[in-house]
This record gives sequence, structure tokens and C-alpha cells, in this order.
Amino acid sequence: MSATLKSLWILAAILISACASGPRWVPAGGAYTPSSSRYTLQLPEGWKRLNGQDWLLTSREGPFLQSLTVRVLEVGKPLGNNTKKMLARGMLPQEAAEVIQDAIASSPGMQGMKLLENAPAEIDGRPGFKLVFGYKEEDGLKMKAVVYGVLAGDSLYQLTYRGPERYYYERDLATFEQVRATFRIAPPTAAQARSAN
Amino acid sequence: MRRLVGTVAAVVAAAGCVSTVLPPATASGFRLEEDERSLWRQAEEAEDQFEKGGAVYADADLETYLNDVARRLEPPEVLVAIPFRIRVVRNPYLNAFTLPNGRIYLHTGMLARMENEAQLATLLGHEMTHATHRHAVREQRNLMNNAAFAVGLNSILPGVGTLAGFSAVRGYSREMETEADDNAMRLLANAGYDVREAPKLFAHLKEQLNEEKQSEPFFFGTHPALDDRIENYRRLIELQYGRRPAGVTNAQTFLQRTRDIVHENAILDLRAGRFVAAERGARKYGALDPAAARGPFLLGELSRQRGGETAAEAALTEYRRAVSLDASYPEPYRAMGLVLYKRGDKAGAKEAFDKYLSLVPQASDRAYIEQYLGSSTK
Repeated sequence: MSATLKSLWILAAILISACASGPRWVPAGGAYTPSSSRYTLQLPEGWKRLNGQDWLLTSREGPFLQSLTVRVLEVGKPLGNNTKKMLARGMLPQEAAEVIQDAIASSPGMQGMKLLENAPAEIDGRPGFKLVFGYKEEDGLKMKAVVYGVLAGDSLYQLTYRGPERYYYERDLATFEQVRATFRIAPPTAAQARSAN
Repeated sequence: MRRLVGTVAAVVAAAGCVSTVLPPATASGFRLEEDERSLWRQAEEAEDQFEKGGAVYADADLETYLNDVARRLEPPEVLVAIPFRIRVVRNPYLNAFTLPNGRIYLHTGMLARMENEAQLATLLGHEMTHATHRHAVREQRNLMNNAAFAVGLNSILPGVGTLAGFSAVRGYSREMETEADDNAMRLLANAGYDVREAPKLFAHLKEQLNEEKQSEPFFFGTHPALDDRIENYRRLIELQYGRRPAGVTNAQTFLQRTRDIVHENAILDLRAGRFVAAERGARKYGALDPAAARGPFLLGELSRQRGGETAAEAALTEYRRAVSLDASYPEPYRAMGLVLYKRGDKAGAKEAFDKYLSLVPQASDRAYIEQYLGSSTK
């Protein structure tokens, strides 16, 4: 698990243990729309989710064994602390994939990243990309991940599934693909459309 | 790492306060203390894990060269006591660190910015001193004597995982770092290198950091650490080494041996979006190997990814320069195709993409290219 995801997981655990009013794990099955209303998808029964305004983390047995995440990245804004690269309007899916791939490769704790697939993919009927890669955790555990991304307006919608290469990744991959097939980007609100122009 | 804390804590509990004054490994009759042996074992375990992670840059010739420079600094008996081995880590940040057992890791970001062998020897001398003067165990004991050892060992710093617990990565106390400077200067002078290159190395690194306006996570990427090194080495030259005849720098040999590292590191900088550093690296590489097509290709990629009004034209110029140097190099054709496709020059894009696929029929991004070609013929 990358240090970024680990940090997210630790943060989540702290918030939960403190009984804070922040995000908490809840059963995930059925339709899901984040509070920002920017997308919808169908989550599998028996999984749990933790979410913020735009981001979503779901897992069946805990993020160390499998995680399905959705996040929304904005064009022209930093993608985090590890890369200064940014997404730009009008990027081809391949170019957006390159930025995301580089951001992942530059993240701390990402060791021995090996790209296995980089191909065009449709997400909600729009042209996007699919990246599949293997990497190692800091303790040497071999992991595998698949990332789908699509640029729509000034946002990139990114769906990621990851798990240990041995057993867990393959076991829940089909579930992830089912979830991805239900992913829909909400039409921009009038305010979003105005700011995009 | 927790076991290490436990082991050392047990030793302390049994012995009370432990001495932080230890003779260097260069002294006769050197033998490892019990807690030090444990520290070495832990270092070996961390090293194994780190090496398996895939971050080490494997280049046997380069490693031989780096180890030869290290051997020039210390006599054989020291190398028996501490079996130094220099390894290169793919990481664009400024860093070098030594494990207690003599494994020295140099980041590509550090090597790529050096100008000559005397500067390399300065850094190696500094790092080797951490091992010969047993800084790891001394600092460990010092921390424990101050009952402050509970923190730190499990801290995680970006990119080095389990090795992060060692002070080697975070830097030692100021006193030990100064000791490392003093001894490095002695080693440098004895080996016949130009001692004036020592402060130049750190001044050069500082200048580059200032230009890049980037924050760096490791010891050698911080201004206080660089300022201390510059001041220490300048003081040593002024007080002790100023009248020595100029030694060797071996700049040509160094630059030729590290040429590929400069290229590799420029790619890492580009991937991290560190455009100023990437451009400096790409230009340095271009000057070192003007006949190589990958130099202009990298500059083209830099322009394309940086964006801006003139980016497309600047990128195309570099891609064309790359293919004029090596017509069988596929990457510039793909990149040219992308730029032309986005500009709406479908015929030009098709020509470039066709050439790319003819050179690499099994290209990993073939599906994208076929998509572009499909729409280029419509």
C-alpha cells in the first residue's frame, strides 16, 4: 500500500477512534452519490465505505487487503506533494494517463513500480484511460493496481482498485469492474459550467 | 527495527549509562560492541528489504568506479574492518547515506549534480567517516542515555522506507557531521584530490536548490546542512589545507562514468514535475553526449509536458533533432505524432504514428495510437 493510502487509512482510523464527526465506515451496498453530487455509482453489498465530499474509499475486508477508491482531481491544480505536474484542459487521455502514472510513480513508498498495461478505456461512455501496474510495499509485499481515469470539463475522475497480487487482487477485480461500469458523471451544475467557460 | 530498540534498551538497562566515546574502526584492535553488532544486523535486514524494492540503479561498471574511488580514500585494513560498498538509488532528491555496516547509498539526484571525482570523493569521505567513526552506535547510545530514543526509529521518510529509521538518512548530530567533514578533508587530501572542490560541491548544490525553488526532504537538501558543510570545508582550507598544491579533480573521467546517471535522473525529475532540475539535467546530458538522440528527445518531452504557448513548436524542434541523430529511435515519432494530432495536423500525425509503429510493432501504447490513426484517416 502506498504511503499516501496508508496515511489516508491512518487518518481515517484516528477520526473513527476519536468518535469525531468526520468520515466513518458505513455499509456500502447500493447506489452512492457523494455530497458534492458530482458522480454516482453502485457499490457492492457486503463492502464498507468511508467518504469525504468527493473522495470515496470502499473495501470488503479492510484497505490492506483490497481498496476501491474514487477521487476527483482538478485541472491546473497540484496533484499532491510528490509531483509538480498538473492536468491541463484538452489533454488527450494518453497524456492524462502519463500525468497520473508519474504522480503514482513519484509517491513515497512506491517501490519497483512496473507498468503492465496502458490503454484507452471508456468510462461513462467517454474516452479515458486504463493503467494496470504492479509494485511493492515497503515490507516487500507484491501489490497490483488498476486505475481508470477520464477527463470531463475541468475535472479528472479517477477510479482505483488495488490489492495484494496474491489472491486478493484477482478475487475482487470483477467486483471492481462491475462498480466501474455503473460509474456516471453528473452533468455540471450551472455554476460549474459558468466557471469552466 | 522494534527489535533493535528492544535489544539496545536491554543492554542499557543492564549496564546503566553507556559510553558514547568509541575509538574509530581505523584504530588497531577494532571490534564491534554487542549493541553495535545488533545494529549491523538490523542494517543488513533493512538493506535486504531496500534492495528488493527495486530502487537500486544496477550498473556494474558504475558501481566498480564508485567503489574504486572509495578504496582510494581508505587503506585496505580499514576496508576489511568496514566492508564499504557503494550503491546508487534511483531518486532525484539530494541525498546520500551510510548504514553502520558500510553500505553507502547515493541518490541519482546527488551524483547527477556533481562536477568531478574530487567532489564525489568529498561526499564519499564524509559518508565513510560516519561508518569508520561509528556514528550510528554512538548516536544510538547518546539518544538512549538521554532517554529520548523511543522516537525516531520507526519514522517514515519518503522513498526510503525501512532505512528511514537510521540517522544516516536524517543526518547525525551537528558534532558528528562536523567530524565527518574534518575527516573527509583529511582523506581527500591524502588521496591527492583537489581539496578546493569540497566546499564547491555544497555551494554548487545550494545554488541549484535556490534556482529550483523546491523543497527537499533529506539532509543534504536542506539549507542549514549545506551551509554548515560549506562553512566547515572553507574553514578547513583556510586553517589547514590552503597551502597544499592543487590536487586532481578527474572531471572528465567522472563525467563520462556518470553520464547515464545524468540522463536517468533528468527523467526522474521530469516525472516528478521538477522542470527546472529536469531541464538542467537534460542540457547537461546533451552536452556530455551530443550525438545521442535521447538528449534532444528529453528536451522535447520537457517542452511538451511543461506546456505553454510555444511548447508545441519547441517540442517538435527537439523531436526532429532527435530523429536526425537517430532515425531508428521510435519515441520521438510517437511524441511528434501526439503534438501534431493535437494541433489538428492529421496527415503529419499519421506519418509520425505510422513510423513509430513500424519501429515498435508491439508498442505498449499501440491501442492509443491505433485510435488516433483511426480518427486521422476519417
